[in-house]
Amino acid sequence: MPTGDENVGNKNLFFRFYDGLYALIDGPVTLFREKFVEPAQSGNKLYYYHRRYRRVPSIDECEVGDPICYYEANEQFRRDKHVEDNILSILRQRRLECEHYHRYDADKYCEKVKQDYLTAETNWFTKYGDIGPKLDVRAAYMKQKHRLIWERRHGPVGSGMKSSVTVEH
Amino acid sequence: MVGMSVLRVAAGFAARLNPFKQGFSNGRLLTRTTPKTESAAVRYGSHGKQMFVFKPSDYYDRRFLHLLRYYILLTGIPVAAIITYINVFIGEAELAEIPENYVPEHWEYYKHPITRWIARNLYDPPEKNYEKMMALIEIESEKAEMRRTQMDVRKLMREKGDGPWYHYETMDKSLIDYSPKSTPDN
Repeated sequence: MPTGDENVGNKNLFFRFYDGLYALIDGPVTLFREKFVEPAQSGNKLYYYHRRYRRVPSIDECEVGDPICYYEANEQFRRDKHVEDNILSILRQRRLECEHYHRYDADKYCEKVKQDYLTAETNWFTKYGDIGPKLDVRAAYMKQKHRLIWERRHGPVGSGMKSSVTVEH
Repeated sequence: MVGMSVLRVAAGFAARLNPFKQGFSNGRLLTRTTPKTESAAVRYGSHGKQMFVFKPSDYYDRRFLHLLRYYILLTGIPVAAIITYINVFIGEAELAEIPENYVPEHWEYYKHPITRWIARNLYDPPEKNYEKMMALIEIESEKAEMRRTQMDVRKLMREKGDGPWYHYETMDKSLIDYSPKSTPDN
């Protein structure tokens, strides 16, 4: 990769030398692409799009004996999980890049990025973690239900279990 | 010392016996070393003396490598040429926003032209797969429900006996012939 910004003036000699070496290989390739390839392709240009999926009823809006509603809710759950996995991955990359860039000053500059990542990771784990191999929408729904009941009986997660619990109705 | 003088005399004697046969150059046997062929200025027009080199046959190895290259390149070169042509002259698709009131075809969601061609001509659209799966689920769930209902109906009809199943026809009572048992002494 060429050294940093093209618009920075007064690059030092080493940066200019390195840019020259890079241009030795990149120059002919870019020239070939801009002179021959782009005009040949600009006649009938192909486009591609990203899929947009409609929202379907989620698992809590499905009847008990309705397997089709369950199938659609499960597919939507898997798509959403893919999205959330990648969001978490992007936040993780940001934190790693920040820490790598600032190295020994990371404590000073990277606090917000780190907190963002840690909250996202906690939320991801609350929603999807520790379910096991049969990770489908029903398992995640039941996990949420059990967590809410536990929180109702014992207080927020992480504050310990109460010793005796009277069954509430 | 003495041996050398004896040999020298013998060499001189041999030279006198056969004056034209120059062994090593007459009279100075054992003092002159073998002249090396490289140090002597001999120039050949060819590659020197031809040697018959003994080595194991490399016919099979060379034949194998030749056939390997032949069969790999037989399809490799056309495939490489076609893919290069497609990548240079047709090129990959560019990402764009979906225009208003336009529903893209299912192959227009892929980038590379060959992938698009395969999706267009060889594969079913993913929507069709989704609907096929849901149709299968629907059929199987209806079958399961019917089987469950049939099981319940069978259980109840056997228990209660008032339904059309488990209803066995008996003979008409007026057809019974009581004559064998009508008198006590038969």
